[in-house]
Amino acid sequence: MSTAAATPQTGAAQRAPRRGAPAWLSWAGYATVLAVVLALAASSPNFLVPANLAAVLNQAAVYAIAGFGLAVVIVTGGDDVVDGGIDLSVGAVAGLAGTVAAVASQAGLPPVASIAGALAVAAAAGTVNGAAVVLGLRPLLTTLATMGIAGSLTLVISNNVKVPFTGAAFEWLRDGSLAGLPVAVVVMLVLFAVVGLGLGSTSWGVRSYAVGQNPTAAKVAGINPRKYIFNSYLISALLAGIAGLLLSARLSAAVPGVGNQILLDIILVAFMSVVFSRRLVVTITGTLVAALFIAALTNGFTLLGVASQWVGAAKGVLILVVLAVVAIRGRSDAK
Amino acid sequence: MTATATRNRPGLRPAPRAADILPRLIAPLVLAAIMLAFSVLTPTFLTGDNLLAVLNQTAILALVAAGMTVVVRSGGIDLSVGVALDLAALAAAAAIAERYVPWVAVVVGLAFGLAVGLVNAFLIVVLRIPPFLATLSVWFIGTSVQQLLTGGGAPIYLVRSQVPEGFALWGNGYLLGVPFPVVAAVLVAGVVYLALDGTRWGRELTVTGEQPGASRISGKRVGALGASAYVLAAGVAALAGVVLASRTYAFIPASGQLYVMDAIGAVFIGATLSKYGRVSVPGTMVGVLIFALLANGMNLAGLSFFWQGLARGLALLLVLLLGVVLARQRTSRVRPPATATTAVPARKG
Amino acid sequence: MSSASDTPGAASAPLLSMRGINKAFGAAQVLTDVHFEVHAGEVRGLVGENGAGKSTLIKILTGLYQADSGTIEFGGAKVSITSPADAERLGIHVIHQDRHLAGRLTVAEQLYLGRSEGRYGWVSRRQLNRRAAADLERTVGLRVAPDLLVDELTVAEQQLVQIARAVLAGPKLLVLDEPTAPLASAEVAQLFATIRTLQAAGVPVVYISHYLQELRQISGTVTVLRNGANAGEVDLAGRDDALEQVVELMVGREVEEFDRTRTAARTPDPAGEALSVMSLTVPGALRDVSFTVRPGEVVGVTGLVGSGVDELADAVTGNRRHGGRVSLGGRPVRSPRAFVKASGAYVPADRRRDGALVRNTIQENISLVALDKVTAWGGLIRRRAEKALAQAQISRLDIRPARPQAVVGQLSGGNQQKTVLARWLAAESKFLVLDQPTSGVDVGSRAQIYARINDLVDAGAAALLVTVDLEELVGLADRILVFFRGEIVAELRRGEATTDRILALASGAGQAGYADASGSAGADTELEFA
Repeated sequence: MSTAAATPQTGAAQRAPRRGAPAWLSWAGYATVLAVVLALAASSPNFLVPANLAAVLNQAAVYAIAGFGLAVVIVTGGDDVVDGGIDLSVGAVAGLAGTVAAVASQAGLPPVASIAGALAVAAAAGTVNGAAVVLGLRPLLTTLATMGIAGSLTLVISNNVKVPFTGAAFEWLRDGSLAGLPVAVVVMLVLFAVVGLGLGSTSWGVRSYAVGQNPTAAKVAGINPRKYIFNSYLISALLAGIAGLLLSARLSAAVPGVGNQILLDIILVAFMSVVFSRRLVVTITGTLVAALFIAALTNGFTLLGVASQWVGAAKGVLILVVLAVVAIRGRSDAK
Repeated sequence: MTATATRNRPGLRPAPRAADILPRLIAPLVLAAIMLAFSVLTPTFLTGDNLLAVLNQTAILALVAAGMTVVVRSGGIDLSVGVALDLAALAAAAAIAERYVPWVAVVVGLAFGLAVGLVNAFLIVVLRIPPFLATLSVWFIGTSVQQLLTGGGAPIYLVRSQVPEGFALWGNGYLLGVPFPVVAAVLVAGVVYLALDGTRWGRELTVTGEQPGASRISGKRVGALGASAYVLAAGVAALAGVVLASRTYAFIPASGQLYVMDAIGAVFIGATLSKYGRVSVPGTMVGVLIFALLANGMNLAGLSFFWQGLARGLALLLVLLLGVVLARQRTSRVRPPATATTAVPARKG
Repeated sequence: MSSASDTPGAASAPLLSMRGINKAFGAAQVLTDVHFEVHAGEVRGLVGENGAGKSTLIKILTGLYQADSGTIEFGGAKVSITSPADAERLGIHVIHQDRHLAGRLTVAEQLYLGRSEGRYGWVSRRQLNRRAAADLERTVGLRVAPDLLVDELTVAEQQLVQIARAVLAGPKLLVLDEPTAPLASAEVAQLFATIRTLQAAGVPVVYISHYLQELRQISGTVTVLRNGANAGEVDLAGRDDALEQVVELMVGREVEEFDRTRTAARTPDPAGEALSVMSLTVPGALRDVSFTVRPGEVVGVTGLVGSGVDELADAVTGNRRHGGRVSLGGRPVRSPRAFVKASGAYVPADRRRDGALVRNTIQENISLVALDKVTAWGGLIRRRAEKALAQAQISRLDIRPARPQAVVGQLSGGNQQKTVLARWLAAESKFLVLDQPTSGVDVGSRAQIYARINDLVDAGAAALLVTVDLEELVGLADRILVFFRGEIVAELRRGEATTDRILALASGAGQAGYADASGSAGADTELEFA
């Protein structure tokens, strides 16, 4: 996503002082991540072991995939959290999709049908979100409502008990590997390529950013913002559904309430991606890096024997540090 | 000036039209519909005892939502009120368990809650972190802090007989036949309403929330106003926490978060009562009552709690969607000229 | 001549013909049987006071609104335009008064947004940037790095990007709604050159402006709207008093904007000192600027884009961090609050964001700074006192509607601005900083605002007027400071200041010395009093 590449050096461009945040700032984000990872590697010999790295990637996959979807929503809806794009239902939809697939396969449906059913339910949630937002509802409230609805439906169809995720197909999702990588990681990388290139290097991406920045500007440019906004919620819900399937596969069961547990992490990775962008916008690459970072941190803390409650606190403090840096950076830009 | 004069028809107050007001009446109408439906479905619903019990059950949500109203009016949002509530309940319960006198327990509880508000204020006003993300982080941290303080999240149960009456009253007492939590909620809601819509502080807070640039230029203490909103919200949530600890004779970790999403929903259901989408305490209370009566009615009708999230979500979507759709019909017929914008001022970095 | 004659250049069939256009918003009839024609190769002016219906007419042309009745013919065929996309498909391009730009897109992305960001939907940033740099230079003479974010441009540069975007589309008709409001004179000259190039290529331009002098330079015929109906058309080349005629048609009466009899500067108290600015420095904008404003005078400030005047008002009022010392009435100004406490008033340039409280009533707007006057014990606001406070100012400034409970977002630009000024009058501020106080304000309101400023200053207040409107500057200021690249390059007294001379100094010609300054740069952008 770096755009600081070759510009024709006209006289004016040389004369005018360089405006905006310098490019090194986005590298500072990466450098911090690298430093923390190296510190973890140095303090725990088990961290850089291939099996552990695979586990980190596997763990990151769920957050990253759902995070990509949320990133698309934030990009297209604008990054003001109260009025802009946000999808609070990603966690609940992921949980619901996992539960639907588990219940369906328990009822004897073939894996393909269970997965299709799960994704269809996710798409339905995305359609509700998209339609309501396009009609003019605030995304925060719309997705708050669908979050409640999806969570409630999960309880209803699972009867609030763990539903085991059985069958060869799901075991393959959990234990299988493609080209030496766990299936979930391959799925993550494929989706990263598709969504990342789509948002970064296509007209759809440029237009989505434009819609998020200023819908009127987009409309005046002949773009129909509603189309892009509606699609963003559909994409988000579908990706959440995929993440939910992978999560249930990893846990070997659909666990009620898991949706609310992963919501915060998904929001975290999507917003943290801002740190890795010179424009201070949400990006797909940044989301991936943030997901890997969070997974590495959680994993590293566990290896170091830190009690789990400290992990949450550390995450919170870390986000605050990151956000403070962004806020201060944004401030020096603005005035 | 003639042009302006004709358009604005000086001196003539435009008569309120049904189409203008209808979108703002949806939430009260939904509330009435819920009452009607459940009083037909279940005979016990519309009895004084039941309604008082509903109010008693709702008091804590009402308190949290009243605080949330202040924060949203100031242009922010607070996802960490649940943490303030929990920490207050934790501190108060722990103090009682340690045999401190009731007023110490209450003060310690409120202090813990206020501390959360001060942290929020610092993050948002001083470090200028966007409120949603700052309070989300505080939620993370606060949850961990609870677990650390309770040895991994073990509940604290008080022995009912050993709880001094001065503490038990907060959640279980009665004042003139009205449960104390209801009295507290009504008092707090009244005071917050008066403060927001009748005082200088409320006016300045509202302006700061809607147009911070204009407020700053007018010499207002923008930072202090914003900070006061978060501290006030946390303080009210802390009071709710003390009431909860007293009522349940216990502290159960992470019970405060249950109220956060409902409070946000109630506040924004209330916003539909205003022409400009401005949140207010009366509106918020309508939203709180919708949620409360829905839950109570479903209980009486024998539906499992599994369905409650569904009902609340649908109610929230219904109210907001109807509001938007009706308002849209109105504007497609009566759209103000472009120069006469009522749009929200553009935001800037 | 001034009557509603049909087609001044009746030789050819019109390219655009809007006939019998009616539009109502609820009970308010905004346009009544309006007709509007544009011929190939002409620059057609469209003028009228705020609320006269210009913007509504243009929004109907671009599909943002639908007319209740009437027909639009374009290129000889009847067309129906229901969206901006329809209009663009026909080749009708509009630069709206509000800049519609996506802030965190790069300049290049914004330039081609919605059109041809890349080939087959695939975007190559390198190619896009190269193309954008060349296109910007060619169409509007703008030289900026195309990978800058739109937010990082100045307002004037943003406007030029928007114009370039329209020109690049190969328009059949270009509509410019108040295009020069954010532009300084040199950029206006560049814009006019672009318009003339289009005109030479046969592309007609509709030019909407409050600045009548500009119309005289660029436009042949102007259509005047009043109260949502045609008031007439005037051929500007026809008569010497054509502009006066336009103004008469616009307002239906004659308006005296400035007190022309006042040629000498006021004599402020030489010992007094209202505002003192010492070595004011804003990185990238202002360098070591020092000046004072004394009680009883209006000091005008102007400069081109990049001269630092955009930042001056914010810095002086404590709204922008700066080096150096600013004090007001002897008290240091480090924050907006300190500025207000020292009896300062600030009317900012961005009225809808930082000035008027658009969701509050007139009453609440006016009392905002003077709240302590209407606050009782316990912080309660005394509504009756507040209303009285507002009513005094409403009649003093002739704010319409004269209802304290009217919501300010629904007032015209001129009345919104009067409400903002009223807020400071109610607080009895003694020092006014006015940043572009009449941008987007109709002629009638403008005259009232000038009159009130003069009243205040005559009564001993002081004012710092920052404006790109040279007319306003010469008409109102007692002393004029001209900025160039962050420094004061000249100080002119009332009487010795002419728009030509200011323009020359502002564009840097003054660096060589005063003597040869006035002639050169002012030549091709002749500005004069209406």
